[in-house]
Amino acid sequence: MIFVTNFIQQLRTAIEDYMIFLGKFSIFGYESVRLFFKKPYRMDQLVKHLEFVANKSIFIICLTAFFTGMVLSFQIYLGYKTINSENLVGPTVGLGIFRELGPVLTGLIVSARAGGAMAARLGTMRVTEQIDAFAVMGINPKQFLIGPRIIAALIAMPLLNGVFCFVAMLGAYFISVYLLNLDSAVFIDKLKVWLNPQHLNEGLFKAFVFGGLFGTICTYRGYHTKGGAKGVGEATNSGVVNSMVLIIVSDFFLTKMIRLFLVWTGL
Amino acid sequence: MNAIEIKDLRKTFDGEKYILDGITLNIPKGKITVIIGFSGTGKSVLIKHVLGLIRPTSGSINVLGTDIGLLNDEQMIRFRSHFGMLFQDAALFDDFTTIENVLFPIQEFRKDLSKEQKLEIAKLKLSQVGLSEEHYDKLPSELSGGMRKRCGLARAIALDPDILLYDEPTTGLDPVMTETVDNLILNTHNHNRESTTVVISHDLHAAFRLGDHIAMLDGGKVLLEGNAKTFFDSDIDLVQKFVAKGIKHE
Ligand SMILES: Nc1ncnc2c1ncn2[C@@H]1O[C@H](COP(=O)(O)OP(=O)(O)OP(=O)(O)O)[C@@H](O)[C@H]1O
Ligand SMILES: [Mg+2]
Repeated sequence: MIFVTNFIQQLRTAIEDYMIFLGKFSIFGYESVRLFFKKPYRMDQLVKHLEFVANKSIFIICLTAFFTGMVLSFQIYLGYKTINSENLVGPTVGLGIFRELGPVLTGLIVSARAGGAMAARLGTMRVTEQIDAFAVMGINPKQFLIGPRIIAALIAMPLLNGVFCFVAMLGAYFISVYLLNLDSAVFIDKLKVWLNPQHLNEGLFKAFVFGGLFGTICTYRGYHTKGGAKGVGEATNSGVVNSMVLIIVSDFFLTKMIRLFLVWTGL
Repeated sequence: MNAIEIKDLRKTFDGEKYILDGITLNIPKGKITVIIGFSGTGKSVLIKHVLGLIRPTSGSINVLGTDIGLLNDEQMIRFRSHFGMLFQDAALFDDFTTIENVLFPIQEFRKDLSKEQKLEIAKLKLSQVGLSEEHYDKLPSELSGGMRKRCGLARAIALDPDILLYDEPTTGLDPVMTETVDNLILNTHNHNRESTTVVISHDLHAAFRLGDHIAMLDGGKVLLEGNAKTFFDSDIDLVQKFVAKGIKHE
């Protein structure tokens, strides 16, 4: 009995701590983004971080997307073949990629790559007092360092998701038409029938949210690094892990919410 | 005339232990004040209060006639342009070159100047701290520790601040380098007699050499303040020990 109450107690504090963290991190993100739209504007910083988050992720996104498209098609083909509905491989893969796998995988990859780098960079700047140096110089470090990074993540994620979806469908088309000998015209035609822009929008919206999530978490962790080089490692690790977990968990709720929204507005 | 007036400053981080426990300290304008004390007595915390990086639990801080407790965060950020600070490890921006580091605050706050004028100021400050032209395009990682400090100092004085702060400028340096940095502090101060200099130090020798005014912190309070003579003549146990042996490094 004591064991059970202890456990509940511990669970409660854990949940409370997490709630407090969520609160602090929301305020942090909100404040940084708000500052971005105030003078002095940091456009040059935004461009620099966009280049880093978006441009430098394209290769790895394309690579992952192509293989995801291929392997997903192949698996679905194996399943559908048993009930003679190979024709539907294209749209099934399309729906899965556009609505779920596109944004989620893009989110995971970019948060590991760019988010980790952000946390490490800011962590280093924190422990070497560079962030304090900005503050002492009369420059708001959140405005200079954080705002542009979060905005860059917000802009880059939907764009990268677009790339991911496109390349994944290329992969799907490639394997279906050239290796599994499905009919090219049927593949395209079914896609046209089953998929509409709304499915893509759903994914783009999710990608936008994920961008905000990992951008804020990783910058928050880096910005609040404590205790030397070890702290930087911990901040990076916790930033990436938290981002990934939150992306996957929030994906479920986002999906539910979007369904509800669609039913509610009758779209 | 005081540049900084601290009244009954108290600070606790956890609500129990007071790191600063009623500090009252006046820092005279145009002089060099050295703050000494054991490791962990809250010297850095005190200086962060003066910079408004930490808010006090109670008490007030007046800088150049402004009660900084009344400033909101954004006003505080702007107010900090009165300060220049040399951090312990210089805190240079590590993706900027030497000259870019010094140029950065000038570009941010002197938009009225032309590009050439800004560069002119940066070069002047770098020559003032004795960094020669061959180092201008090096990254901080390519500089020696002493050069990094010089560059950090050049950046701190780039905008001719009213108050210059040094947090343990010589900790971890060899004796020769220590003397060089001490001389640098003196020269910089003599260059601009209007400015106020505050040095945090472990090192009593440096305090006697540099300080017009010396304050010693202990137990969250000012244990003793005055000039070198005050410290020699003091009959407080702890002070006598320091004067006899110098403050131990921990
Ligand atoms: N942000 C903070 N949160 C909680 N405690 C802090 C914080 N900053 C400093 N402290 C505590 O305040 C005390 C004084 O720290 P401070 O860095 O001011 O010492 P110091 O006199 O500068 O020492 P040193 O000479 O080693 O630099 C330490 O015990 C430290 O743990
Ligand atoms: Mg200190």
